[in-house]
Amino acid sequence: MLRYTLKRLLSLAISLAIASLLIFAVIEVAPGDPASFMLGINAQEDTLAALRAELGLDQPKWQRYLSWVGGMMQGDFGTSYQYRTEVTDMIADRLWVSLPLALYALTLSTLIAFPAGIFAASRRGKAGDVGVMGATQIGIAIPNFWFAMMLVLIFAINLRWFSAGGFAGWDKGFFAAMKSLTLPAIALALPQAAILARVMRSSLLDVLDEDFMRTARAKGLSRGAALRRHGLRNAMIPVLTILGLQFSFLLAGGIIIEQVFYLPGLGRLIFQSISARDLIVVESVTMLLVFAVILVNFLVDLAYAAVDPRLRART
Amino acid sequence: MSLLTITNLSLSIAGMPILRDVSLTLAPGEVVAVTGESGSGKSMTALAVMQLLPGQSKATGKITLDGHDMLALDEPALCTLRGDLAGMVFQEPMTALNPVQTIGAQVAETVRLHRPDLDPSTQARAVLDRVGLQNIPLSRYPHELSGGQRQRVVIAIAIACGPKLLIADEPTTALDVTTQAQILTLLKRLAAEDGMGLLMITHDLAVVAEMADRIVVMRDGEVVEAGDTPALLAIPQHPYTRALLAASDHRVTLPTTAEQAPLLRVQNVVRDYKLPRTTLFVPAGTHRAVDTVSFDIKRGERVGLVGESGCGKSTLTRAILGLEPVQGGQITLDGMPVFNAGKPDLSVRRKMQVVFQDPYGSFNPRHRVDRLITEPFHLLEEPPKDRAARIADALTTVGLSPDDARKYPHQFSGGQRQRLAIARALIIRPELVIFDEAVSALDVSVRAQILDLIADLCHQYDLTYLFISHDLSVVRTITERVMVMRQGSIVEEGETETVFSQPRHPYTRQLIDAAPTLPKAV
Amino acid sequence: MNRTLILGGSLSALMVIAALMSFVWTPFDHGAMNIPEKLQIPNGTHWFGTDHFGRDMFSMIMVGARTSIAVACVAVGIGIGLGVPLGLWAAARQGGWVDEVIMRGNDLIFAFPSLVIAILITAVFGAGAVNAIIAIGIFNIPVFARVTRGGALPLWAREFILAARVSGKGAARISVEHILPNIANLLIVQATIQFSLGILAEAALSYVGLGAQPPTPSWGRMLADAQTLVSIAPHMALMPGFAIILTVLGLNLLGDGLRDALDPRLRVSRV
Repeated sequence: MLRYTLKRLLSLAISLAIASLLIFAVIEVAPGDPASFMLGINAQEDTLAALRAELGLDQPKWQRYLSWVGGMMQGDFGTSYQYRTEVTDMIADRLWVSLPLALYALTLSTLIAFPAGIFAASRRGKAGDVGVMGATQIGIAIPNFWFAMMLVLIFAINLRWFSAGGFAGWDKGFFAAMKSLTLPAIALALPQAAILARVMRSSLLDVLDEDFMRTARAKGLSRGAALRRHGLRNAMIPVLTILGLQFSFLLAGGIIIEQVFYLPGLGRLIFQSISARDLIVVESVTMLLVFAVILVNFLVDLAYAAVDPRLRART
Repeated sequence: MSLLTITNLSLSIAGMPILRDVSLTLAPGEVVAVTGESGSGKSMTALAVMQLLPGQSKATGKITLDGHDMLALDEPALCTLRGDLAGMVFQEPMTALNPVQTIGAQVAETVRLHRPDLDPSTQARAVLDRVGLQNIPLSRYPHELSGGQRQRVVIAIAIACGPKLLIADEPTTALDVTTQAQILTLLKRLAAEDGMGLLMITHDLAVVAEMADRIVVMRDGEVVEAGDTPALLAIPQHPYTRALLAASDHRVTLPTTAEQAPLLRVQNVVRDYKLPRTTLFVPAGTHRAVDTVSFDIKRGERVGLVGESGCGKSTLTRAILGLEPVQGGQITLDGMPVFNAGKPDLSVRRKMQVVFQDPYGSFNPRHRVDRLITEPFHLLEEPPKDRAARIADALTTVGLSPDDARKYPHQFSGGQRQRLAIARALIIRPELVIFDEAVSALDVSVRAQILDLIADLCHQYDLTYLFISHDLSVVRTITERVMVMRQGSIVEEGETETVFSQPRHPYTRQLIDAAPTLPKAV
Repeated sequence: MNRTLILGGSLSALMVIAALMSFVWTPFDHGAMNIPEKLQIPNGTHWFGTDHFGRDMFSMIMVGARTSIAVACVAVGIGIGLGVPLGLWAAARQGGWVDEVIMRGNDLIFAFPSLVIAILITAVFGAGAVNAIIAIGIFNIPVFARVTRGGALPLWAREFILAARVSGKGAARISVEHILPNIANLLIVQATIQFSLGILAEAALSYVGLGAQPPTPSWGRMLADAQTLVSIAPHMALMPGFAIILTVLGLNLLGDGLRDALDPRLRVSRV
């Protein structure tokens, strides 16, 4: 188990190193000089040079890469070109919106999908199964940002149960903050729940055909008990994979949903920074999101090993 | 009073008739074997007793197990009977156990379900001890055990609550011959000790000849004959039973050949596999699958290679076919090395062809027969001009019709596909044919026909072949010389008849003793 | 008969026909502004109503189908064109370093949140349909590579592949002659799924202004236009939304129907 963890950690480190190189390279080839963008077209050449030196833009590329990576390891993402403030502080504020939103949506999606998938699998081919599968088929087809607009139309504009956008802030209390995240979370969660429910169902149906399920029935377990005691855990492996992938979808999907609800999250930050060509912020936010996804994949790998003893043994 | 009575059981699945008027009885403590070829309905009969039939099944008739009318009981009642009154053992021990649960938990679960008064883990330990797993802790996972050990765990699950009936569905088919003998002994002992009725389902009459009190022969969903074992084996009444018995012990005569020069030379061959790296900074270990093996096959010779799974015979086959490099020694065919690191040497390859085990997996399902069996033409400098004639000739030679050329492989039965495989191997007239478990997946009657075909071909074409098999009785009749392989080495080699009648190596003796045989017909 | 297949095929065909027809005929000129007739709800003249510039929504949706289908089509093409050969190559060299490099590369692309990278690419290299296609296409490569390898690996263990090797055929030839025809069904079904995901991704990118640029109409940008007006003109959001949902639904049903019709045991990855 320790060896497995170490091996996964090593692959996590390599992934991060390659990802940071790629992101740095993409930002490097981006056209436009941040210094002249910040000072405008009328800036003097010597002021530009001074600003470049201040931002560290005059250093060789490899040195700038190393100091960027080195800084991030200490939690220092550099200084925003636009606001001249610490990127770390800007991100920290926004993270407290985006991360809770993703986790909220992931929780909702799991809570809806697991029962729905198990229900459909246990009613294979019957009306309940067909109904759930039809609903998920439509759920997959709905773009989440459109769904978000519809939620706003119904629950904020017509019923006035929620506000149409904006974030109450955590200082207004937990429930006020969660309430302003509820519509966005539902918009994110339902299409993902549709996918997850389908994976849960098909994974369970695959397991139901396994020989060991027949062994379980032969020892006197009822169909339901065999499914719970022997089926679920074996069916969890593909489901875990999807859960890990969904986290990255929720983070990314969140970026767009934040636009619909005017939420001050990482998505707003990234779009503002793109239009201001504040590339160091774009770079850092992207790296942070990639880091989050790679970390989640690492945790999913560990979860595999917890579920499946064969993995623990093999590596 | 019998323990199990099946009366006029008929079964259909999704409208397809599977069983017709099957009747059989089993007394307490009795061992009854149900035998028949694939599609005879023997496994479905067993599943019907447990009421574990697949969906869309409709059964009529009557199954009485210890006074319970199994077809009339509802699901909760059946659940209390399964595992308590009747236990079941399945064919495939590799997949019959839940891979993510310890074996202790899986055995204990049966106890917990039916004997709430007992301590589940104490009872699980006791049962595992009984099936011969004294040294295996309860905390082991299935993947940490061998096939034979897993089958013992499955048996432990089935007998944990001391059932009156044990149903074993092909319990040894997936196992090696020595392991098979041990599992059969175990089942016999358990049945005798507990006075359990044992219903054995098997395709191999020889397996049950020694242990069954009575035998039921099935064909196409019907019982054709049933009777006491010695009587049924000695004087079979039904023609099908007679044919089955004859086929199980089928003999062919091979033509004799003159001494000739060696065709295939295998000299000190070593084949190592890299093991997966266990530690990051230590070089990966190796597993020696073939360890310094040497032998010759002369032109016109028919040589057998026997051994259990994992002995290295498949690895050796791939090395001879030139598909994989060897780490030591040399393999030459007609003086030329078979493996060439770069492009395969077609001039060597075209002298050699192979027939594989699985009649269903050895053809690309999307190609037609003419394209399939002419695949070896790729080995020739230029494709033959008389392609159509060669196809027709090859098909006729193996007993098929030239009209079959435009069919797809799924339109053929298993035996016919094996004929196609032989046609493909012979179409470029190779000097050496390798039969890799070529008859192992076939029913006995089909197997007998394929053996006849091979013998015929020997008479016609003076074939040279290497016949690889785990089945001793087949090798005994189809080869003149045999090699016994164990753990990567050839432990014994000699004239087939001599090796079988006077084995010199203890392992050969062990193999021959373990192989089930039918008592000689009177 | 397979009802899923018929329904999915009809819906998909409807969208393709609408897109093709828009080249020769639309009820109105999709770009023509007509301020006096702005924000009309669906009626006999403007079947799907008009937008805030008085443009005919039905015509815009027909032309928008063109953009969606073109972007998704090329993106799937990129995925198949690069992903399938990579997957075949990895499977042929199972366990070797080629396999390892290809699969690790796949994992790495999967580790990037796809939309974030699409945003990054379009942000750095400029918004537009071509960059959107590249951004979506890149993420189709590992999907097809994985599905291809997953389908090919069990085939490589089959005896008919061994027989082909005994007949002196090399890995490339075996991949084309024996592997590809046997995983074609799998790839067709996966392609329909990726196609529908491509349409969703294109809509999302143009919604945030990073997809096709004006004056090219696109469903996503129509939704972006509708956002501030959703309370007074809900049809501006509903109509393009329905177009997206029906197209994606149609493609997904088509994929499921094909899978059932071609091989019920087919394994497709749907994420």
